[in-house]
Amino acid sequence: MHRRKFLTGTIGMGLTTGSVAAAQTANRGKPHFAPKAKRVIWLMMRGGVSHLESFDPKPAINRYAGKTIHETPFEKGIVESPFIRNVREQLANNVIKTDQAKLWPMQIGYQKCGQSGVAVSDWWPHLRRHVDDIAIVRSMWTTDNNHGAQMQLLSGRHLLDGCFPTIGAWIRYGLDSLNDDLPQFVSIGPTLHRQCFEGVDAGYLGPEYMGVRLKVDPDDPLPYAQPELDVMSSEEKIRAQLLGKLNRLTLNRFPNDANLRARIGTYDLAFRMQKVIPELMSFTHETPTTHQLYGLDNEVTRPFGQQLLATRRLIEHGVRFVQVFHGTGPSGDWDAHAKLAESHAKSCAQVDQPIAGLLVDLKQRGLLDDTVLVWTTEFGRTPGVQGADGRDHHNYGFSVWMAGGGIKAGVVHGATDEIGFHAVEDRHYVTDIHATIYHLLGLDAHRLEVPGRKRLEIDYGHPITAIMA
Amino acid sequence: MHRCYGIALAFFLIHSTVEAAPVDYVHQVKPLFEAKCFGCHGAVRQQSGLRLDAASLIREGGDRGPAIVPGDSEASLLIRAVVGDGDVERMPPEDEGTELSDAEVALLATWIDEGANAPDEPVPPRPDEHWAFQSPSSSVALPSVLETHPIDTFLSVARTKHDLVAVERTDPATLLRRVYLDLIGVPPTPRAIRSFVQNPTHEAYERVVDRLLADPRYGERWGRHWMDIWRYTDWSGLDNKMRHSQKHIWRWRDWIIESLNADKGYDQMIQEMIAGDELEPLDPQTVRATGFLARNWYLYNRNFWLDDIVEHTSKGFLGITLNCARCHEHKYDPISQADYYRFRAFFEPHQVRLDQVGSEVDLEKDGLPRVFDADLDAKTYVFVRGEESRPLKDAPQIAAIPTFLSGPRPVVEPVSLPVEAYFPALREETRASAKLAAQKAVDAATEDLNRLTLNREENQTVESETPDLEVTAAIAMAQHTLRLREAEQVALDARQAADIAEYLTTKLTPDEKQRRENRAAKLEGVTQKRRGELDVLVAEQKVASLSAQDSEASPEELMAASEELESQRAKLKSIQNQPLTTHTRVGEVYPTQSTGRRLALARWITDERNPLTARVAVNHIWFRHFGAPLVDSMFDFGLRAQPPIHQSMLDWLAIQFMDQSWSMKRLHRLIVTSEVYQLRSADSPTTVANNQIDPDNHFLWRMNTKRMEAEVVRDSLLFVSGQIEGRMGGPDLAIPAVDSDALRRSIYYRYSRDHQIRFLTMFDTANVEECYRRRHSIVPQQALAMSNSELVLTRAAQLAARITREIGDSTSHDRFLREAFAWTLGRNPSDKEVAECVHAASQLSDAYREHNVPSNEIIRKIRTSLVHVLLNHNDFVTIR
Repeated sequence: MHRRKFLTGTIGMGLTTGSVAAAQTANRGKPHFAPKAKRVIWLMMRGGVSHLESFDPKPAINRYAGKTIHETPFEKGIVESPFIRNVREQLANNVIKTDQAKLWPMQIGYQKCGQSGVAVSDWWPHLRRHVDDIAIVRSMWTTDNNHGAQMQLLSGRHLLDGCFPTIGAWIRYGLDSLNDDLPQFVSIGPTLHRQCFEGVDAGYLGPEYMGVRLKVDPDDPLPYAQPELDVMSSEEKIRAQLLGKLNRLTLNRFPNDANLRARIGTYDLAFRMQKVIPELMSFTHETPTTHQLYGLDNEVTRPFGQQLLATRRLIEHGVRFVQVFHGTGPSGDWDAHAKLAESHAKSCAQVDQPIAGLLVDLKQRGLLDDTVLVWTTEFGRTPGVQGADGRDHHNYGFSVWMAGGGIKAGVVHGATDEIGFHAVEDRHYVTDIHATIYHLLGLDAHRLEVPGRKRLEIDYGHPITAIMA
Repeated sequence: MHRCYGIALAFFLIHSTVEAAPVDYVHQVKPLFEAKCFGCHGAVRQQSGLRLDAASLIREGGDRGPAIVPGDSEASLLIRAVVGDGDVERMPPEDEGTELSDAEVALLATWIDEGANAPDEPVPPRPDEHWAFQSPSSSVALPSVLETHPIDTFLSVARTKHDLVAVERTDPATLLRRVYLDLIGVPPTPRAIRSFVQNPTHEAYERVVDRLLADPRYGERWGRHWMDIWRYTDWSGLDNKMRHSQKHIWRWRDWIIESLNADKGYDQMIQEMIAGDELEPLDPQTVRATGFLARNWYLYNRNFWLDDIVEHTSKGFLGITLNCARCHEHKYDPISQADYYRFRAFFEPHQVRLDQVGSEVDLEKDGLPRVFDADLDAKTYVFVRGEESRPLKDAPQIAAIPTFLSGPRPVVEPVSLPVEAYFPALREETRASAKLAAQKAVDAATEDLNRLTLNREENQTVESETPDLEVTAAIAMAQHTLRLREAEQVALDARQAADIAEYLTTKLTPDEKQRRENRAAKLEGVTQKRRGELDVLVAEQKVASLSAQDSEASPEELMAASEELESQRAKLKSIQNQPLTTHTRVGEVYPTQSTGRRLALARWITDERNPLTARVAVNHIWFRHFGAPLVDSMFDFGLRAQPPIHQSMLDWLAIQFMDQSWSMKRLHRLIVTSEVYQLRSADSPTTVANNQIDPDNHFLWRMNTKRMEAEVVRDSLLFVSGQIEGRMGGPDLAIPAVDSDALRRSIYYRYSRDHQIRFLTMFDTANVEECYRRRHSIVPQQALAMSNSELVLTRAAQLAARITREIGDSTSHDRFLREAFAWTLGRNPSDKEVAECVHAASQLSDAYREHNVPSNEIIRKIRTSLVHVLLNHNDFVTIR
């Protein structure tokens, strides 16, 4: 299939990658207007967190528990809503027949918190103490009702369209480095399964803009981080310099070779980061209080806590975009088709305290002022029950939240209908999160356009101005 | 629920007064049809001969006449169908989809009443018109200009159409390195480069190509490509417990390499992999090919295993995604759910077994993993929604291929197996090794007994004590064991003789047969008795030791031991009282027939009338030569695959491939001797316009640069260092703890989801679950692996030493650099490059002196550093 042809329109458009780069250099690297933030932390709970049991309480599903949607007054509004067609299935009949499933009551209580009095479920006891610092968006929707939605969340495109640049790659493409010793787009944690370079894809932007996956293992943060045989540091430096010169001489001969350019970049970066990364991944200089804050003293919270502490250290030292995944396995731990109460309680216990810790830590270090923190998941879960005690994938409505630089604190935006089925008020497709971030970083995504690569209007999204300060 | 039409109309009336705008076919009607109807009434399927995927087809209607009467919804069949009125079954049917809402019915009615207006729209082609489902027609004529290579003729016509000008040929050194790495997976030596550069004629190039294709390293290089596609994996599991694939599956890997080197036809390779056991049941060299199927073995779920086979047999050979029809009808292609299970039925009877190889009787140590038909009547059921707990048992599926493909159907004929195939223990070699094993067992038992007796005698003479009870017991045990082993040995001979009489020879009289049977039964009876006696002895000794004075055994333990003794005695007695009348066969006897289903399927796949097989293979081969495929979706040639730009060339190549006995070597030769293969990979000042017209090089106006696959990176490092071990084949090698200990080509090291050489994983190794196409990332981790790994550091020192040996210590940097560039980058250095290297050499020299490196070491260290830099050069891992 000539996907590229489709994207470029007819053959005859477009420049070479080389001249694209040349044409773009002038516009790229600096924000297009005054930014409110410099950095992004993108948390992603893999598998699909139930919005109904986290940030979007729906008393009506308790009231009508055991009834199908047809047996409720909401039937028409849901089944006949045009939104019902906003789904593009990778697999037909991939999910339960949502209109025939019986509504299943919320599996956990809610409590209103903070000055704002926003209700958050009891599975998030640590996070909800900081509800006044975050802005919850309850009206997200996407179109993939399978876990390809993870990639869709990152690239804005359905997996069936192919692999496209992810948000991290775009930001890497659009903004200069904050620290030349560090990769600007880092990915941490269990990767996306068999999808587009595990979620660090730069697509047609080219391999230079791909994310770098790091292992948060203080003992072995990077394979081959140190020479395995004795090499003098002066020797190493001379070798690296010579290599750089030789590769650049070759680049003079092949100025359009994007792969060569990318490889030169990876060598420069590798040489510098092999010193810095092991230091950043070592937590020995962090205080016991900080260790506790992220839950490193508890084996349940430690793995994710380490990831978030590493994230803070990376951000602090000038990594522009860090995405952190939680939830192992092909689909992710949050994929609660059965035993939802048990598995969500377990997953929340792993991430709740570390996330709250990260918020507190960013704030106390002044980093939250110019860091955007985004908490996401690929979709929500069905109001109807699946099997005895689960909920299925639900792309029609789900929640995310944001915090930090340029984001209003303590607000709730958008709403799903009475039973949490469709996002109905202030609806936002996933690229609206991207647009919000671009805006906060001072970027106009339209000005990042690569000639010859047509982006669709939906790829750009619209900033969620209601939650922007 | 039956809904009254009147209500719908009433609703529509109210509705229509509210909204006056006419119904929009494109945005309102068509999406509704798409969601509710296309599945059965579209391009792929036409229930009742009706299609609803274009307004013209809706008016045309189906078997029951026009679906609509424009202007009159009440008279329209379509409206009666969606409300389920009278004699028309409600659409969509109950189990296919939810009924239309009142509003949707009203919408359709309004559209019809308004005249069923629709703009012109293309009618989606019927699936049987899809390009890939037509045989590549032999009427594909070469464009008329014939003085050039056929591939170039196709391409130049296409380029001319788009005002594209091809770049010039690349220089001879680059070409040589390209074709070496492409065909044998290691770079040329400087000598080979010099020799070719001196005489870079077309004839000389062809000689190089022929030599490389005849080089056994070709099979290793291309074997790895096919191992990606065919999903090679060594066994994996927990501890020694196998969960995936099979032990000794490397025999299939060796078959791949050897078959490629022998230029076995691709058609024959497919047949041997799917049905080698039915084709050549007595030839283990052929049967090992069925590792292709055995590799899918999965401990926990037979359905996963069969699903994998269905999915990847169809994706790999046919380029169709049958797997999308496991739970429901295929979304895009005309493949029904039943088609999926009919395809599975070809494989339903098969199972995996290990046959003995040579004289090794321990199958943990060696064996031949292979498939065979175990259950000739195994039934295949459709699983509702793909759930194995919901088989449709009243409708077993018969093995068949999807109906949309025209042409011949597979003809299943059972295959009678020779006796040594279904009773492998009767093979002469296996019989002999069983005899040998029995003799070894007797020898071992004899030795045991002798040792114990000798020990006792020595101890007695030295210490002259009364015999130790334990020693006496051990000797008694050894005596009994020896008697058992001897009995087993005699019985084995007799059992083999009886097996031969029953299965192998036709010359014996019935009397003689009976005599052998009686003798075998009798002697087997003796072994049973000996074993019974041994068991009794063990039980007696247990009782004796528990009742000894110093024993701390509880009464319960003693009681249990006594009971055990009683039961062993009773067992022995019953053995003695019931003499055997028949003997046990020496090994497993499998079904005497194979269903022939797999062979029928394999023959159908490789039938020259099959439109897909040759095209899919050519596309795979083309992709690996050019770095870009002709059909982008390499495992999906279904309806979603647009006709490729170079379809006529693909078809022509597919026909050539089949006409040339499916010879891969001839296809490689055809491709690499084309002009396009020999073009520069970079653009040039004369082709600036090309970049505007075809930036992605769809029309191959230049060659694509490629990155070495992981294995080629490692193998090339080993090769240039002079350390590579050329030995071919053999059991999968353990991953070495230290890189420098591993000297064989990468293909021979263990390769599974749990075990891969770490260095290789940095460079995008194949996913063992599915890899129709390797990806080529560029990440800092690769730079670290190349800079810091012991592998590269060691090989750099070895290559530097090798060059020094050849040119001598005292020669200039210049000479050294020329050799080093030739080994690593396959070319001469430029003056600027030499200058940079010489400059770095002097810096290094200072640095070493500062660190008090002995002066006789300095030149060696400098050269190692220079080589290390060149191995890290982008153009070492790049194929230009």
